[in-house]
Amino acid sequence: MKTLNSLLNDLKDPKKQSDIGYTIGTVTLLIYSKEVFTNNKDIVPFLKEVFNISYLPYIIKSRTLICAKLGRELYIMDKKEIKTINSNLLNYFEINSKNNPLSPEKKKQKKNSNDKLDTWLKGF
Amino acid sequence: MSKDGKVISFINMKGGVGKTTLCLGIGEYLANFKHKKVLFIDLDPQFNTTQSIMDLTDNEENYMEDYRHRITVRKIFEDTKTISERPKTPEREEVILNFTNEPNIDLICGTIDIIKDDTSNKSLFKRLRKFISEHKLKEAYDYIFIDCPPTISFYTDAALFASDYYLVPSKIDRYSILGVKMLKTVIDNLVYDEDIQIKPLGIIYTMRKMAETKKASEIRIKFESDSDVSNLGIFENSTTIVNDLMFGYQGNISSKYQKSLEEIERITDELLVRLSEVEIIEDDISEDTEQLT
Repeated sequence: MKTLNSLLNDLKDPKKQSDIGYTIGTVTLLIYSKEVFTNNKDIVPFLKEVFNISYLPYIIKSRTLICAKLGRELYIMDKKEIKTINSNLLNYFEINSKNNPLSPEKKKQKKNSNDKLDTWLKGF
Repeated sequence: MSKDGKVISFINMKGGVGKTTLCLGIGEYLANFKHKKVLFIDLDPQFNTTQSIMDLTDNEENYMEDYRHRITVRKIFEDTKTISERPKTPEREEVILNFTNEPNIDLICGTIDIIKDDTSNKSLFKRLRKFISEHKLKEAYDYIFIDCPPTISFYTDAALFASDYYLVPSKIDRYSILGVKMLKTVIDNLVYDEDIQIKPLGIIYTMRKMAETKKASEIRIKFESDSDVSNLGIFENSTTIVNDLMFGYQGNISSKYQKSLEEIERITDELLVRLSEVEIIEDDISEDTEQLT
């Protein structure tokens, strides 16, 4: 997958900016990305700030459902609204770049069971 | 409210039959899906139950650096050093670990170091039962699951002596029938010597292949026609081979993967039914004896 930065850079491109397909695509890629949002609950403030939308917990439990619902919302927006969304998106990640999960100092991935095996192997 | 806890040993004299996975799978399911309070006791020197729960609760480093030297099942079996010294049951917190991220799961850690312990004092195997009763653990937990080593040993005796019930995970293969036979002998001897009331809950087939081959079914039929096996009873539900339990990032916890979750759900339901049936029979028997007296 493209990095967060290259995704957002595409949104700055005026040609792509007015294309609703890019917005829906980028938002979907962002939501599916475990690097951008480690846990589903991290998506909640993103939805609120960028789209002013909140979903019930059963939707938040599934990234697929979030994308489906959000895609529908974006689909009925006009060009002006899409532009606002695009700039909201850029703002959101710029404001949050300090605590952006992709910034190197913050990048602390949870260890999975196979990583944890190293601790056991080292111990004996 | 005080609970009416059941102590269940997961045991088979044959290794590699999925004792640990089943013990963890059912226990974790009861804790997190049925909101039961569960205590695991790891008596197997391979201590895989301990490793799995340490991974689950992100404690693997704490175990290596701290717990294994301080808070393990060894404490329960510690013998006195001098003749004049009186044996003392360790406190709960000296032995039992609690976890903030898994509030319904507690653990008495195993350790490989128990193989170095002197178990020549034959009465020491009674200590686990004593620990459970002195601390009234049956009132604190709904289920106490003991993961046993796959050998005839001091620790199997300790587990069986402390248990109300036992469950036998078994693969369908040539040597499993022998494992079950040997287990029967061990338990019969213990029942004879110690006058205990341990009851079988049945055999659970583990790691089945999706489609059973003709030769496998021959072995299974032979196995099931054995009188010891039919006396133990066989669970209708079984587990199949789930690769994720061996290699998956979520560790060997059945509820973490869809296929094993469905299997463990059905097995746990069947287990609960069997437990309630055994209890009804027990009640009937005690009523009968009351009438007689």
